[in-house]
Amino acid sequence: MVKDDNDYVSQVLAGNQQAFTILVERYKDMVYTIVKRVVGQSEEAEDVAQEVFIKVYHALSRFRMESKFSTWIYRIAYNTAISQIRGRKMEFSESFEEERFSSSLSDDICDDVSGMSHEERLILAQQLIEQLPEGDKLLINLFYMDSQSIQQIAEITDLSVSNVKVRLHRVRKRLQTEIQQQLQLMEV
Amino acid sequence: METENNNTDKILRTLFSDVKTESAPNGFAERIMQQIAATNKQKTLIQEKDSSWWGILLIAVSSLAIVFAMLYFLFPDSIVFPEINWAENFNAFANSLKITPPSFLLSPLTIAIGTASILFFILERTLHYHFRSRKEQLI
Repeated sequence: MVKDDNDYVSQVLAGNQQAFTILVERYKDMVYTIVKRVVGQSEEAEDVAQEVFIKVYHALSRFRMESKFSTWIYRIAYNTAISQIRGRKMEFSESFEEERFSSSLSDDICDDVSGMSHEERLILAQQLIEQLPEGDKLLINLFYMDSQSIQQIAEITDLSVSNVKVRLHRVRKRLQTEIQQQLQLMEV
Repeated sequence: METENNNTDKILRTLFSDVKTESAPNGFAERIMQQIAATNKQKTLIQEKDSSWWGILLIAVSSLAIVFAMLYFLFPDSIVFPEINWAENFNAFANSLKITPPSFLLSPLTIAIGTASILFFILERTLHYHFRSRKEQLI
């Protein structure tokens, strides 16, 4: 039976250091992804991600178990990464792009994507995500790959809920056009 | 509009459901646990060092108190304590020590040598263990 994060947190606080290994194993990829989306470079991301877990370990006694552990750790990851790139800015889709991407996806395209093989879908998804600014990639990671809610993303990134909604809306619009273009290319 | 958004959302969920997040480099978790272990060890050493310094401070304060007491009884009418009758004080103190065997001559010099020896021994042992543990840390 898979134990709850809070059980492991309690164990660590009781002195069982090994329990923290399980939490690291559980969250290392997502923490690394968040940090990499913000700082950009792999080597720097690894150092910052390690720093995140050390911070988390020493701050565990301050985790109140009211919110989800994942949201808490992702927030620390995001803030640590942002501190690292102080001076640089996270890139998100610009608002003017919304005009260009006003088209919508029809049921046919929906069926086309559903009919693709697993490999084709993976390739398309990778192509789509590669073209996004880092900030948008982070939103996609959190919302679609890690199933974080808009509220949780707002907590992690310190943005307002409406701001997250607007940014997600822009990313969706941008991806709509990209999907249409990619599918047209495939048909040709 | 709602349907269009739902379609987009549905497609994106289908597309990204199979995509994995970036993978942390190999040995990532091990390195973190090593760092945590090292930090904990360092923390413990600092705590031990602090407590040993408190011990030394305690001995130093006790030594001062004892030296003060010795001065009080051994050096009558000194410049430091000119107004006190030292000899009377010491006699009162010596008389209060009922445990002294009759054959043993309790002189100020005996007390001074005895106290100084004990203090010296305690101080030497404390410093010995303190510097030995520091040497081990460095190794």
